[in-house]
Amino acid sequence: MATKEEFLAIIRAALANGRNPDAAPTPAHTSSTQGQGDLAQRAANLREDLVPKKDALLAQLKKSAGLQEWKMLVVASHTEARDAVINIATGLNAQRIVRTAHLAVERLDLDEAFWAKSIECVLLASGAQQPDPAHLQEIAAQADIGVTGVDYLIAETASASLVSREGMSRMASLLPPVHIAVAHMDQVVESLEDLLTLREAELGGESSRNWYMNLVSGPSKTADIEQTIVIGVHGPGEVHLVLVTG
Amino acid sequence: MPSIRTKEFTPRATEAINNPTIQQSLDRLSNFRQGRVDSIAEFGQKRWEEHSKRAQEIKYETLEHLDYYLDMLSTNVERAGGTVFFAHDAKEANDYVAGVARAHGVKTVIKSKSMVSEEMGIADVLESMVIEPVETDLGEYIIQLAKEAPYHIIAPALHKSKEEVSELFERILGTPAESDIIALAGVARRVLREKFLQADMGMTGANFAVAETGTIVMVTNEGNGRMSSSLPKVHIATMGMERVIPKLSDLSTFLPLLTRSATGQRITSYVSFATGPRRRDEEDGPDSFHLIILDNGRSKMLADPQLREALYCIRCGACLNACPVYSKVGGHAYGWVYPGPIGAVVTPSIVGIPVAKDLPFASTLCGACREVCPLNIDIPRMLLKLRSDATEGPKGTRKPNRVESMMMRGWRLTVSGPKIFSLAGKVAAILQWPLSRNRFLRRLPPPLSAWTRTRDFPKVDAKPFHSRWAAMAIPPQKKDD
Repeated sequence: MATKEEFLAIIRAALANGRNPDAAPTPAHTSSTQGQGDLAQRAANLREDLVPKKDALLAQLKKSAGLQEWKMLVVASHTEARDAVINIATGLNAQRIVRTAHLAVERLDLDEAFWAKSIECVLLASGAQQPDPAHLQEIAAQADIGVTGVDYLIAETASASLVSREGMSRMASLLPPVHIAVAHMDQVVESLEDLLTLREAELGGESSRNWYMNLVSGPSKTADIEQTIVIGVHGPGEVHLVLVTG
Repeated sequence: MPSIRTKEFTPRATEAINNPTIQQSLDRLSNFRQGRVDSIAEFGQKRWEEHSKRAQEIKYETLEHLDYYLDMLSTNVERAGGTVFFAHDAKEANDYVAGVARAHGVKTVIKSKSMVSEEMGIADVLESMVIEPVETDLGEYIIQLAKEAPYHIIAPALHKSKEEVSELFERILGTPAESDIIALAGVARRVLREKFLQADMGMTGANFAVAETGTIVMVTNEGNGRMSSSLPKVHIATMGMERVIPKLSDLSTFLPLLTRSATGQRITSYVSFATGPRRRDEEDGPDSFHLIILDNGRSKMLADPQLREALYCIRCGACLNACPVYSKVGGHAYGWVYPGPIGAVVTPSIVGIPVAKDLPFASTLCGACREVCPLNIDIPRMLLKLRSDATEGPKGTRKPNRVESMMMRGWRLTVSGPKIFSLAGKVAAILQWPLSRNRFLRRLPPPLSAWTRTRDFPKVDAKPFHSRWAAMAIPPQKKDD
């Protein structure tokens, strides 16, 4: 059994053996050396820089979403977004929808709208009760579609970031065969670098140190048999991106 | 550790070369090669080189202070509620996993693809405990059913034709024969979905581990990595100790290098970030999270200034695709977990040079591996070093070979002066006459036959370079000095 100290001692010995004389005397490559205040400032600057780029980012996102095999729909309002989601569901003959409590989804008032179409739409959450992941898994596995919001959208690679939180189950975008992600133009950033800069700044302000996030950049796929691409292996095979601009 | 078959390089390479199905599969590597080239062109060559340079700087900094960054990583994983275990070798890592599995009464483990878990051979250990390990990456699942080792770092079942996969599914899963690849993937989806929902432990690798936040990052396309890190109550991630990077935003440097080099993708369908177990306010996720940091021979590479650079590797597999040797002999010839040029460096360092001494020689030293490497790892230089280690052995252990040293002495004599060299050329041009065919010498007498058994030797030209140069009538220029 190796203790951490024993393990690190072996590494130190190995490094001493071939220590490169040019190596920096002290480790320097951390964001905290830049200070938390700087991180927040950088994030604020970045947000400002993104504002005048909106049109270019939208064009870039549209292009990359196509390449990444998202079915993307740009709508002007939340009402149009709701109609878009319902159209997708009825087009697929969906019977059961699960959704998260993300603000972007809450705004669409989907439950009632689906109810009117005799389609069941439920919030995938344990609510005030004791969390019951197994139960949520069961519901999500039975659903035809999962509707979620996103935290950010990267224009360059059409990647949606989803942080798991209260009311935002990991399962909604994973177990159903179809995923609909609803996003707002304000959430669009240019690059992975932008996203990680914003995330680093956010983490500084969070009380809890543990978190889980996914970047989703298209449907689940594999090329493991004869390098032939098959869409929809373990995750959703059909992914829609509804982007609200207004 | 899984069985080591590095001593069977020649027979297994021969077998692959003579197998037309395998050669056909290896020809498909051209997809990876082309994908990479196109993807870098899209990214922009200059920007690519900047990323590569930056990545090398970060790796350099991280490895030079590896103790510091691993300490930071483990502290931050623990702060996030996770448990960290440092393992010297595969056995310690396996024992730890076995202990966690026992404590939680685990019956089924879902695994997403991880080369380190292959290195550990954890699947065999779990099976011996009557726990079912299920590989969930389609390629890994196929080779698990076939009871084989991965053929390629990122495409484990590269060598299997769809007919072979269909036969395998039919024999083991009892599904009807299927010639359609989409249908075959569908079979795996159905069978594995059941396993996902019933599993009580998930195991994943970590493509990167961020020291500053205690986050492990998993790069996948199928969604099995998300499943394995979200559905079961226990999540164990395994990583080689060199996977650590300092901060979250370093990923913007590494991620494009990895995915574009590997498959030519801009980004994979999923990149998952797991920091500790499920947060109190989260709806789902594992109750406990364990990170195993494995040495298993890596500290030996770290201690050797000539091999340290091998720890820069991000396991993209580009060097396999580019290698003219791998592209013919395939993955199994290398006899252990890591095939191809990087495997020829890493494997001898882990299993020991005496059993793996054929591997550094399984290269033409053409340099293609280094050329495509996103971290610019000088694999040819390391192969030469390992060749020297394999031949010389540790100091004073080398058994002298009289024939070889006689030939070397003769060679030294021949090349040490222009007169003898040109005389030797003339003599050879006459002596070779009965042996030459066209431009080559196909068969030389022993002991030189050791060369011509596997290679041709170009004929000595009757008009050597010396005399042609003289005939060109360009007077040699005198330097004024």
